[in-house]
Amino acid sequence: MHTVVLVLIQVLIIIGLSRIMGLGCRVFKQPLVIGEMIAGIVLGPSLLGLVAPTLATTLFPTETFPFLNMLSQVGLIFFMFLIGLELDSKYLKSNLDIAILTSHVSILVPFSLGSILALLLYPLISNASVAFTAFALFLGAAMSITAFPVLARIITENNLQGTRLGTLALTCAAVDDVTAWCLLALAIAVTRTNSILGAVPTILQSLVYIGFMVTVVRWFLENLSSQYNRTGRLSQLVLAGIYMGVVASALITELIGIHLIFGAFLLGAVMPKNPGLVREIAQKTEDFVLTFLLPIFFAYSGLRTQIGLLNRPELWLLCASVVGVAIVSKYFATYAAARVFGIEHREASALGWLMNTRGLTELIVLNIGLSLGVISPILFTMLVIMALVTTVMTAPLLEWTYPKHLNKLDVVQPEPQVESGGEAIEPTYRVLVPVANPSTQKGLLQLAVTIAGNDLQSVAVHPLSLIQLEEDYMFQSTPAEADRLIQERRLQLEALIQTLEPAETRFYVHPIVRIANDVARATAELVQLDRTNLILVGWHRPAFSSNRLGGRVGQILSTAPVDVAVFVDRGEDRLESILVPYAANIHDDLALELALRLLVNGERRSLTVLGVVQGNEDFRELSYEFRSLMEHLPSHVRDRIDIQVIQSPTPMQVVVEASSLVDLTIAGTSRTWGIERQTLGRYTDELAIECCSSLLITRRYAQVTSHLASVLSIPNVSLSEDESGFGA
Amino acid sequence: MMSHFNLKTLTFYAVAITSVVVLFKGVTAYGNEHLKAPPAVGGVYRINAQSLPGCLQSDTLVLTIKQSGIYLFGFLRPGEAPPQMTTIAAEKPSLSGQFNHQQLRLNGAIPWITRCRHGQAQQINIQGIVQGETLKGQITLNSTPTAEFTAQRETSME
Repeated sequence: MHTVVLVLIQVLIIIGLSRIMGLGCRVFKQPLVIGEMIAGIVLGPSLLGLVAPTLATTLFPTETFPFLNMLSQVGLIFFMFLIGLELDSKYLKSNLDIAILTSHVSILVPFSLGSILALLLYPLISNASVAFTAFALFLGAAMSITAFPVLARIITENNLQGTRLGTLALTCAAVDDVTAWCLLALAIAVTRTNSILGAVPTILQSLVYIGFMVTVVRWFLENLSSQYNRTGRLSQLVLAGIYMGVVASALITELIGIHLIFGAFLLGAVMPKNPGLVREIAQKTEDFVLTFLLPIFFAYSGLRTQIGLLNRPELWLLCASVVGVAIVSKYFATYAAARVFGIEHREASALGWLMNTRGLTELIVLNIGLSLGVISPILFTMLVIMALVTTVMTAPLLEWTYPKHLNKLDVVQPEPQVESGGEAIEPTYRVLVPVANPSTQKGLLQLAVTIAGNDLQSVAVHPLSLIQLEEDYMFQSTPAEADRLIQERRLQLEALIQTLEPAETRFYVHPIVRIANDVARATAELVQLDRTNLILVGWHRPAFSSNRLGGRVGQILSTAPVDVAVFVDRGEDRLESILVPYAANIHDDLALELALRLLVNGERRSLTVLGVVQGNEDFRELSYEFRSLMEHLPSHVRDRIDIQVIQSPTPMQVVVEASSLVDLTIAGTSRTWGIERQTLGRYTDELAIECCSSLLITRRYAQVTSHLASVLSIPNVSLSEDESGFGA
Repeated sequence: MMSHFNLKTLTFYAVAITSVVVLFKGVTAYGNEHLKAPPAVGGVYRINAQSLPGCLQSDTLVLTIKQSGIYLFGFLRPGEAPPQMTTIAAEKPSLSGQFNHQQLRLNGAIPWITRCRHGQAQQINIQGIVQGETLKGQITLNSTPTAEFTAQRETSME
């Protein structure tokens, strides 16, 4: 087969598997980089080569490696440019002194311990053609790495960018990144010349080049930035010039004797951080680099990783010592430094785990080391395992030491609180309203406010906007960009809130805007943290398919540990007459409770409770609890309730006809009304289609939740399944 | 930013960096002086196999050795093996061993020597000394008597 054809087939396999593995990692709350690293290892001799060597060599023959290497190097150059591009001085804002010192301690200690570990490893897994100094420098550099890009994404995904911990970790990682690259440049220079003295000319040339970049090139780029401000767009000609600059800078650093990647990184780093310009360059560059070229780099690394080489217990012990020294030195150095500078235990500990994230940056260092021959294939494999372990462990350990429910305590700029007489008041009834599109969901939020009522002291409505980030490394996933998206969305929600009536209700509507990868799961977590009583979710898809409540609404219905109401808005502004089709089940109880709450909150509203008796069933009396509840209602509420019982073989038709006379129908997710909790049943959601009024579909989660206690001062106002309704 | 360069911070940096530099100097001085990594013996060796025992007897055999310090991995293949066989064999080296006291030892299976595939599983044991580009050693196939061989390194690899 022609080599080019084979390489293209390889690229297909690599990108496909990377995506699948990345999706798998999402399930386990792991960053995409882990999936891509694993995909590379799977395709290499560690797995495919082991179980199907013939297939492995047919798909990945060695003669194609130079092509893959070339593609991965191009990807790496532009990826490093993107890393430099997103290295913004605005990250250097929080506790700069503490961050710089902590960061440097977190480099110096692993570097020192890495050098000491070299004493053990050098005679065993290196060879005489490598100088000990170069070996020790490389091992020290590999130990002291923190992957800024991966760490920045973990911080964004955990919504930590606004917390003291998040800003501190970002500052530390940014400083760490620059320092570690300098250390790596030194290690490469020493390796190539085999002595520190021999590396001095390379170091001097590098310093001159850095000076040139931060003065002359920076001045030139400032002019480019000014021109961008005038024109407001980045032409292809200018972009071509920037890309040529990236490649030229990479070539210069390679000629100096450090490495291609430093030139590309430098150009990105000195680029003026004009938000519009940076965003446009990043967006035009990243799609192809991140989705096409970077997975090839991972695959190429995986093809060089041979876990099978660790075929003796002593080699696994050595591997454990490498992983152990890397984790322990980084964690304790960071922790101790942070503690010395007055950071409290929990934050210092979380910072220690965050700084352990090595991920992609480590792989870049290792591949350079292997190509230069300074690290052997066995040490390469051990360090890849170390990079995997340290990256995988970050998210769970961060959650363990710094659980989400404590994040809010450390927010740098706390959200405004409702205060009364100097004391913050905790609302007793909270409604969470996931808002996908603020411009079309006014009706939903207005209903939430209407259900919540007018008692400003005891209720809270939280419009929830979750911003889903698609990719790990995308520019939009950087903390600064995520912050911008959050602010933008918050402004949209604030504008929506200002349209709510009556005006005083706007006081208790507090939007929550967060980053989330799994919207349903994040909603469920938030419900538990905020002790929400009800989720009110909108559903405005015009054409219903057989899987009616699928998608995110279906996921929220299935996973949220709280009562949920799904609102199908027919655009009816008025809310004076309500219909509750009522049968004996807990979901209808919720429907009735919400209807009564609306009744209490609006003096002009009326409620019709409709019972349908099918076939030859006899009409039975209302249950004791139902009657008791009615009796406890104030007369001005009870007088507006009309209970009707109709005998009909087609309850659905009766409800549909009755719905034409009301503004809102509230129905539990019962089979009686053709709506199921799970959406893939044989029952169809006929009511959702046929209902003439706006429809609220309720699904009860907890029988102990009462939606009436906060508006009625009567005990035991909640209905439950076995004791309520018609019959029983 | 200016507060970052106060006396306390600068003292801390001076002490920290001096300590690390002194430690690194000490470690590298000790390493360069006292630690000896094994010489690079990895490579492709062509063996004149006419005097080798049993099914190994042929015109030439090629021994590929991959080295990671004292740990060796490799495989033995016929001299005229197709390139794909070499690639497949490299994916899953069938020989492993160590380099100690200037002597290399490798043992394992020889799945790529067609004539040795019949009958019981064939195990070989190779011991030898590398002098320059020449490997002088002994080879044992199962329980057959040991035979001596000389091989020339064609290409070296790390």
